[in-house]
Order: sequence, then C-alpha cells, then structure tokens
Amino acid sequence: MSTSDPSVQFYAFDIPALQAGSYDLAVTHHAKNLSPQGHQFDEAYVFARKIAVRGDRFALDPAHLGAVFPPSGRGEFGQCLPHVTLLRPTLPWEREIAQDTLGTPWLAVLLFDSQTHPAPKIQAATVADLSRTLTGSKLPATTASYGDAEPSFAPEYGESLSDPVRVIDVDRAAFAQLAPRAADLPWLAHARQLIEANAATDPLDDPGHVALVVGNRLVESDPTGQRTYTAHLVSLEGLRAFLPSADDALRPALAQYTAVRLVTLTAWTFVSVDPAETFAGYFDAAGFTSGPLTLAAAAPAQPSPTTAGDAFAQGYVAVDHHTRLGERTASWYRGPFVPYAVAEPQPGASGAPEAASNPDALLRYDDADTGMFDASYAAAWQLGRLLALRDTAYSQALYGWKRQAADAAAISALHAAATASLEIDPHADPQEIIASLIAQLYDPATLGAHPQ
Amino acid sequence: MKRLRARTHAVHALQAHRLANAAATRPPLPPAVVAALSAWWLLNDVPLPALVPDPQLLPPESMRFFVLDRLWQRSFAAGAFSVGRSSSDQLAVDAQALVAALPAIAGAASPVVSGLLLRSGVVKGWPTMRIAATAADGSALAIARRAALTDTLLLVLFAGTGSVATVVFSEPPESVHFGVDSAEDTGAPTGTKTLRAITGSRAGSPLAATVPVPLRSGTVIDVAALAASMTAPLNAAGANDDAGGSPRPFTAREFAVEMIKGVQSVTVSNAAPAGGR
Repeated sequence: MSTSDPSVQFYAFDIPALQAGSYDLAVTHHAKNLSPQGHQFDEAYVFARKIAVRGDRFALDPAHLGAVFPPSGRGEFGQCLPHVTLLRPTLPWEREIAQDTLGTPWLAVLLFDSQTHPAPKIQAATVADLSRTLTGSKLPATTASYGDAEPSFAPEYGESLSDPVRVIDVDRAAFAQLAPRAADLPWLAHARQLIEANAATDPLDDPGHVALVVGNRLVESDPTGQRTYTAHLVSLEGLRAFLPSADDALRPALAQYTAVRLVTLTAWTFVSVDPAETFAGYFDAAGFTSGPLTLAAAAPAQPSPTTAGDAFAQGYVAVDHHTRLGERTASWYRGPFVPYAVAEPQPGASGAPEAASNPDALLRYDDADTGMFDASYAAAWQLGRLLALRDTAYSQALYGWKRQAADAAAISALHAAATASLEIDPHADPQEIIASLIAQLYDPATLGAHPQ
Repeated sequence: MKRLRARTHAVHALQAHRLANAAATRPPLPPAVVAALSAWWLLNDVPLPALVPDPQLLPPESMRFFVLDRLWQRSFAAGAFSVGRSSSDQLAVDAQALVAALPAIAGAASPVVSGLLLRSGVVKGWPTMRIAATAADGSALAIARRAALTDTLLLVLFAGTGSVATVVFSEPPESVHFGVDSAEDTGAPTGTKTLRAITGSRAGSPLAATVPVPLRSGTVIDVAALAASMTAPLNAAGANDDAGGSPRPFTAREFAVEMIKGVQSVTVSNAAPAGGR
C-alpha cells in the first residue's frame, strides 16, 4: 500500500524523436560506373516525400489535458504555483520558442488576478489573426503576435488560416511582469512517471506518464475571497524576442506595440481563501463528523426494532406506507446500508426473499412494542422489479431464458415420465431401451391386457 | 390396468422431476442477465432516497460507515428476477436458479460487505482523490464501486473479507503541487524555500537548509535565480550526490522535486459503535 506516498520518477524533459512540423525526406540513389573502362554514367534516382508531424499547436486535444492545479473553484492555495498536467508527456518540448532551443518548453502558465493584473478577455479568432502578413488577418496594428516575432510563422500541414483559435491580448507591461524569462522556461516544465500505481485497489489510480508545466507566480490567500485568479496555458512558440529580459527592460521587439496576442490552450479560474478549505481542512473542520449510518448516537446490536429509539439506532426511519388495501400507515424502512451486520436467512429457509412471489410476502411485522411493519425488504423487492421492467434488454433476456428453461424442463420431464411408465432405466443404453420395448410389446401378459 | 398405473405414475414423475432435475436441464443464465444483476447488486441505478431514506442520516460535512444488508440486496435481486414469471409453478424453479446464480452475481471470491458515504465539499474539490481502506485485521480492501451520487456525495463500496475499519483519503499524486514555504506547512517565514534531500538515505525529507525566494515583481518568482541558488546548499549537505559521492547535475527534475509541496492525506477510522443493550 503506497497510496499516500507513491513513488514518482521525474525527468527534466521528454524530447520527442521528431518535433512537430513539416519535414522533407529525400533519398538519392546513385547508379555509377566505378570502373574506368566502358561507358561512364552517373545517374541519380531521387525519392522525395513530405512528412508532417502533427502536434497540438493552436488548440489542445482534450485527451491531452490532464488535471489542473489549483482546481477550479475555491480552496486554500497560498504560496502555491499553478500547474497543468499534460497527458502527452512530450508536448511541452514538441515546439520551440526560437530556433535551436531544443529542451526549452514552448508552453507556459500565466497567472492573472482580479486585483493587480486583471485577466484579459478570451477572444475567438482565426489562425490568420496571429500574424499581420497572413491573408485576411484582422490583427490590430498595436498588438504584437507570433508573426511579429517569427516572420516565417504560417499554418503547417493540416492547419488552415481559418482554423479557430482562442486568444488573449495581454497588456505589454503585464506581459513583461508576468511572463517567464527565457532562462526560466526550462525549469518550469518536467515529465514524470508514477511508478508504484495502486490500480488494483483503486480504479482511479492510473499509472501516469505525464508532463507538467508550472507557473512562475505564487498564489496569495485572500481571506475575503474577493480576489479571483485566472490561469492560462499559453503558447510561446517563436516568441523568445518578446520574453522579458534579465533587467525587465522593454524588449525592442515590443517597442511599437501595446499588447501581445497569445494563443490560450486552456484557462481556469479559482479563488484562494482561508486554510480551512484545504483537503485536510475539510476533514479537520469542527463540523465534520464520522461514524455509523444511524439517526441515533449509539447502535445497539438488536435484530429488529422493538422501540422507536432502537429502530433509529439500527438505521430505520419511519415512512408513509400506502398498503395494498388502501390504508395509510407508517412503517419502518431502511436502505441496504446498515450500521452493523444483519443476519440473513439461508437461501431456501423460510423468509428467504428468493421464494417470495410478491413484495408483501417480505413485509415483516414488528410484534413487540411499535406495532409497525418493516417494509424494507418489500420495498427492495418492488424496486428491483421496477428497475428490471425499465431495463428492456435485461427483461427480454430474462424472459427468453425463462421460456427456454421451461421448455427444457418440460421435455426432460416428458422423457422421464415416458421411461418411468415403461419401467425402463432412463439412463440405459438406447439399444437396451428398444430391446426392452420390443420385449414388452410381445410379452404375452401385456398383449393380453391390451383392449382388442 | 397396467396403463392406468402407468399414467398415475407418469403424472407423479412429471411433477417431481421438474424440480429435481431443473438444475440439470436449466440452460445457463444469459451473460446480460448476470451482468445486470451484478450491477444492481452494487446498487447501481438505485435512487438515492432508497439508499438513504432520511437526509438527517447524512448531514452536510459528514462521513458515514455502513455494512451492506445482504438480505436487502437479495430481496432486490429477487424482485428483479421475478420479471416474466407466469405461473406459481415457476416460482420454485426461479428461486432455485437465482440461488444458484447468487455467487456469480455477488462475487463470491471477494464479496462486497461494507462501504462509506462521504458528504462533503472535498468530493467536489478533489474528484480524483485516492481512497485506501483497510479492514480491522489490517488487510487491504478493494474498491468495488465508487460513485459520486451527487456533486458532494460520494459512495464507496469495499470488497474483502472484513468490513471497513480505517480509510485513508489522500490528494491524488498527480495533484502533487509546487510552491514555497508557507506558515501553515512548516512555520517557516514566507519568502523562503526549505530544501529537500534528493539522493541518499534522506531522499525526499527536508533539510535544515533554506534559500530565499527571489521575486521579480509582486509574487512572480525569478525562477532561474532560485534554481541557481539551490545548487550550493544541496551540494554542501551532500543531498544531491551520486553513488560515488560527487554532486549530480541540478536540472529541471531536481528543481521540480525541490519545489514540491507534499500532498495531504487524512485517516478516518470507523469508531466502533458504543456497545448495545
């Protein structure tokens, strides 16, 4: 058991064998006469293929997105860094922030908050809107984007100018303060693998090989709960010229712009509040109670309710009961969850539910003090029947089986009756049965008994 | 005479035979039927009010342990098996068939005997939290079913030989997260990071060394500077040495290990019911 302390293997990076992009593959085959004699020739046969390695670029395949931290909603996340788990472990290293920066991730988590750095609005745009040189681009003149940092920016194989993207326009000053520096990026992503998975006992414990992209800004707790944080996983592909420098001075590449347009691959919001809303805080809270499932404080080990107090302790509640005769009364009911082990009649014994032909056969009368029926098992029977009737596939399969079983039983009984009436061993060899049949037919005594 | 005798004989044989040989002649139950009954045995589809008849049984922010009432489950299965029965004659045959199928439906090897209901905000906040349960004798219990019945109500059924005694809830390991020291964790002042041993016998445990967390503006960390400042104290403590005793390189993965804030886990025990009368 290592659920509370699983072993996790960390990797500094997980670089794919081929980065995403288009590749030209050319194989040249020379046929040449190497000998000085004879006809000299040198012919080249060229085999060329274009291959494209596709990868998430302008949108994230939902199957590649794992958990985000902090989870959306409220919680205590003070002094934590937000992060995104990516189920495709090579994803952060599939593209580059500039040429020949292999090993530096192209993804980053930017953290905005409602008080100091308001989160930019997410806008719907197209791939063309990411570079002003592309046909049909509606990129504003004061906003810098991928095409301004990397002039060769263009859709790759399988992508088109009209592909939808979700973008945020980040104010230049905010970008300079919040974005990681190029030197920070390699530290902010890693891959890891869960080694000792506990999948046998917990179906959610999936042995994961994942990549994580971590933010560079700490979350602060706000006791008033007014401060809303918004985190964006953004693409920094080709944007090295925009990233803040060591002295946080204005980057020349951004001099003529007021904002930076970034592709946001996922975004979520959360509020960091008081420490009671941590995971352990929920369980440690004064109001949190645990114990057996009853309405009473103590659970006496009694088989059936004798007083109302006992009944509550045993998990019963009193419910309205409309009887078959139309009366209204109150009966005890409890569900399948009981505070202690309950004795059950063996199959075939009296009171076994399998032999009940209708739910009323399972009503129990408490003849001690309360004088009420216990309708639990009758209700369970009725509920089972109703759910079975609702499930057409089940009820048809069951009905078909019952007919088959009845037919098989009838045939077998007929066979047995026939053999028994002729006083033949039913398991005998068929040849012997026939011999004995013939013998009986021609037995003078039997012949004599037959009516003429 | 002989014929009359034979006929009475045949009628008796027919009646007796039907029950006695039903088991032998019965075709096997269709897999779809066994599968549906097994799902219902784990109380799938059962509406919440039938499971927990009174909301007071389960106040907000509470956890309740229970054992399963097998008689309730058998009654439910008997009701579900009653569909398509056309004669009282069939009742006995059906009962026999259902009893014979019970081990397959209920999972005889590892029966589901107990469970818990957790009604809390954690169900919503940590939907993938890990749950590990042990019985009173310390043996691990497998999770037979785990379902969020509502946003904030989690049902877990455990399979094993004993009923659940202790449950450990922990934040999922993938939500191991990153951050710097905060007052609740270590009592250390905010703005520092306590280092953690990476190799050696103390691997994973905190060291006495802390480094200040350099900030650029607001709470934005100067990550490269922080990473660079960690190497010297780690090497001084010999906490990042290879087998030969010389310092290993400090890369993004070592940095990730340093920046982890541990996952929280909580143990809840099933308080033995105060003795009854």
